[in-house]
Amino acid sequence: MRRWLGPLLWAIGLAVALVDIAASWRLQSGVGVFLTDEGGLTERVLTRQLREQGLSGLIFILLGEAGDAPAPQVVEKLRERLAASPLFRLVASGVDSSLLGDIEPLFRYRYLLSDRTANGLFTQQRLTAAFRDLARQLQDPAAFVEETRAAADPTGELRYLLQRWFGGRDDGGGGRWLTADGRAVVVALAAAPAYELDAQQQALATIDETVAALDENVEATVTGAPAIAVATQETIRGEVTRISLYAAAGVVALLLLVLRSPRGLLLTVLPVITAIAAGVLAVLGVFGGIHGITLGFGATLLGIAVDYPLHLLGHGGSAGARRRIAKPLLLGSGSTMLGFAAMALSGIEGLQQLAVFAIAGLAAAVLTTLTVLPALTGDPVAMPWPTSWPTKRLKRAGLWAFVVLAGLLLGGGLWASQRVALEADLTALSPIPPELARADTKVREALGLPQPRHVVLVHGLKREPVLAATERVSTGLDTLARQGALDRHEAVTQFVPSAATQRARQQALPKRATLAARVDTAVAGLPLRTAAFEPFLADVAASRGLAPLAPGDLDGGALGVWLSDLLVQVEGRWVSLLRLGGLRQPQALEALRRQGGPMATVQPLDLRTETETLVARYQASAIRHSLAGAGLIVVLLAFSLRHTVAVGRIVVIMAGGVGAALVALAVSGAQLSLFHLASLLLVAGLALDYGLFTRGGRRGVASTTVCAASTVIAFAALATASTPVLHDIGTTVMTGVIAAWLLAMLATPTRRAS
Amino acid sequence: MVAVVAAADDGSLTLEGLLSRLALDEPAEVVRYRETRRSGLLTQSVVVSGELRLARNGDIRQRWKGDGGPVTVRVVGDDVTVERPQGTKRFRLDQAGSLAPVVEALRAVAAGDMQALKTGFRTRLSGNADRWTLTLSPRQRSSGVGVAGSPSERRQSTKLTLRGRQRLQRLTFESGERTIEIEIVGSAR
Repeated sequence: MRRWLGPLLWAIGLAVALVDIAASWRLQSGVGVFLTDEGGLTERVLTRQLREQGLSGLIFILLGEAGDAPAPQVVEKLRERLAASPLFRLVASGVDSSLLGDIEPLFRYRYLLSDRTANGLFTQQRLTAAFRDLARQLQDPAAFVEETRAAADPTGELRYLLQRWFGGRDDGGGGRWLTADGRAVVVALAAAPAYELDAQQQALATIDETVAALDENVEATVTGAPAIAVATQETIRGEVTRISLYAAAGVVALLLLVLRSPRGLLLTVLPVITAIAAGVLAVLGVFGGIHGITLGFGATLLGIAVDYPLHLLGHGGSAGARRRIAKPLLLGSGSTMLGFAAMALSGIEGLQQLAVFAIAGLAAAVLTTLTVLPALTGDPVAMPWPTSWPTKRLKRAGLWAFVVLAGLLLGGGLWASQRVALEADLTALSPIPPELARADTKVREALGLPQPRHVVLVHGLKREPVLAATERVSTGLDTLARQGALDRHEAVTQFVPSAATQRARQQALPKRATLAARVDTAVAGLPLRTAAFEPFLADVAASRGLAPLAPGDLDGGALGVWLSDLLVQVEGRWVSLLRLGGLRQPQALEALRRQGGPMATVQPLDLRTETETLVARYQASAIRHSLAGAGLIVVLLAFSLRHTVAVGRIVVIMAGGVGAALVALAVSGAQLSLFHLASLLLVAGLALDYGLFTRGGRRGVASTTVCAASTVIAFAALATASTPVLHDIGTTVMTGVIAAWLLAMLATPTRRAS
Repeated sequence: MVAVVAAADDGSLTLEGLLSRLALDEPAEVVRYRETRRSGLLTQSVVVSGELRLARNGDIRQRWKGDGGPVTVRVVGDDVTVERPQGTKRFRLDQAGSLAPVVEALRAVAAGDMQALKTGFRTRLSGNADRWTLTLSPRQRSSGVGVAGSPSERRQSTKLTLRGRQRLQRLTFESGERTIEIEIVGSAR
């Protein structure tokens, strides 16, 4: 009965883990998780921007083909149908109420939001001109003046604000959005948060179905961060499924050939399943989500967990076998875990995820192999093939071959380490299919949405001084634009100014009697009824008593989304982002630093340079941590084996494997990313296992050979991935494993191998 | 034939019969009109005369001579285009304030589309086949109101009145203190 206790507890644990995973599943795809949360505010803001992929859960639907937008009623039909769905919070096809949400707050606050209020809007001269213009429009049947609104807003302040905010983004008539190449645009915001990919997928499917259900045959291109995230998830799911199938088929064929026992095959799979479940559960538990690359790479990485049962079976599978393999297994897996533990200290969430995944998975695999499998193996499982031929043939090559090969690989590794450049382009880490990223860029360009490379950050502890400094910087940028240093900029205060500015505008509003007298004068001689403009007098008087509007007060509609991206709160600090377009003289921005004042800091940033610097710094940190991990492994080995030659042999095998992997990287032209570093650590871990187990005589050599073959098959499958980083990792690890195995075989201790 | 259908057996007029009578036989019809606008903001009425083309497919074209030269307003679907010698402006029908219900009514009448009329308006028909009055009160619109249409304006009571004999002769739009009266003065041909 005691024999079954382990398997029983294991089965219960696995079932609970799977249920827990299903309940807390959340797949991530942004590249920001590969940046650290440590460091200065700039880094944290950058990280936040990259994590959340800028503006947004906005979905962009482009309708028609270039120069051939569908009829307006078709666009409107689509907008209405989508707006009727509870899946969407916002659907807009132009500057209208669907875009702006409730228009009333904007109308009520028009005099506090308009820069014209304090710039002579209420002078007699301007009022006279405004009323003359209004009279002309009212007499023009084609002007379509809204009379109720005109009575309250004869200067057209709301129209002025909308034109100023969105003027560059519509078709010039305050109507529908069109791209530069003449396609209609509908913008949608799903009701669910952007990171809830299943809900986003449902929203995207609804868009597809609604477009297909339109009577007219309309071409539609859907893009935006949610579309990219969902497509990425699908790509990763597809890749993982395909790679897993290839790898599983290859490894199963190999194991059937070697073990010639379905039961043996089943036993080798159990630790792998347990490892993946434990890895996913641990990452979800610690980080609240798992990145697509962590999952894809991590699952493959845990394919090495198949090595553990193979060693057990290779040694007969019994309790005796467990005793024989326990020490090298614990030493090997412990060392690998130690290496990953060093990686976990890097402060980079993506690497931390990988480390947690690997450590939890490897621990679960070792535990399953040592405590569950021996109870299930029953009769010893034979491993009749291959046992002797590789060893015998390689042994004949002798020690000199080991020395020559090791020398070549170490030399090659040194050469390659000088040639392999660090990957500074963060997007290289992204699993986003390149064609989708390109399509998104084109849409953003067409819509005039910012592609922020250059920004100015204004930050401080209190919102009001930050907004005030933002206004000063914004004024400076206007001056620079007039001098030709840049084309345009976007700042939160262009929409909602600081409270001080709003109060100053209130001060500029004339008193009721003064305004009434000016209106009388303005209307004199025009065919207008003075009394009809009582709503105007009342609204101006009411504006004088309004509490200033805050950016967060405009929550509904796309304007709220826009503003929440331009003014953010990062760990207690208010950060205002001014996005710059068409910057020609970056050095001109330096003068803006003086605009910060005592309560706010102004920082012009080139996001690309900053990001590259950040990535380079994180990679340097990752390399340091990897080297520290390798050092720890050597210390652990020395402590456990207490034999200089044995330790030296294993270190050379590890270094040779890593050297070969580096050569493969250099030859392929790939640049060293954080994932490549993790792969090199994996190669070191595998090489360590090979070195350790080939010390265990004929059975160890045989099981190591099968392990190496299965790993090569798994990573060959990974090398077929279309995601560049997964492909590179497949090639790298495969090469490193072959080299490490060769070295281990060449240097198998004679006495034990015979 | 049309006139016979318009009157019921007892001589009274039905809406269905009226719509059958008013529906265009030709793909399009062009008429001359005179428009009188009265506004709560203006001290005097504005009168313009021009040409109105109404197509069975719902397209509408209005032409008159303005102060700055000829003005053409085209309504195709929900798209409004205003052409002047100074330039062309495009916007959505729901941003053209009073135009939307007038266009909706004219389209329903031109197409003889009872369902469209009933969907968009509450209807009241009075008079007889020789002198009738059709009053249309727009139903509450759930969406599609542009920023140009203020909520207060939307809340105002709006009414359209169509009057005629054998044909439509006069269309009056009333909203708050504003009145637009379009009188058909004859065929343009």
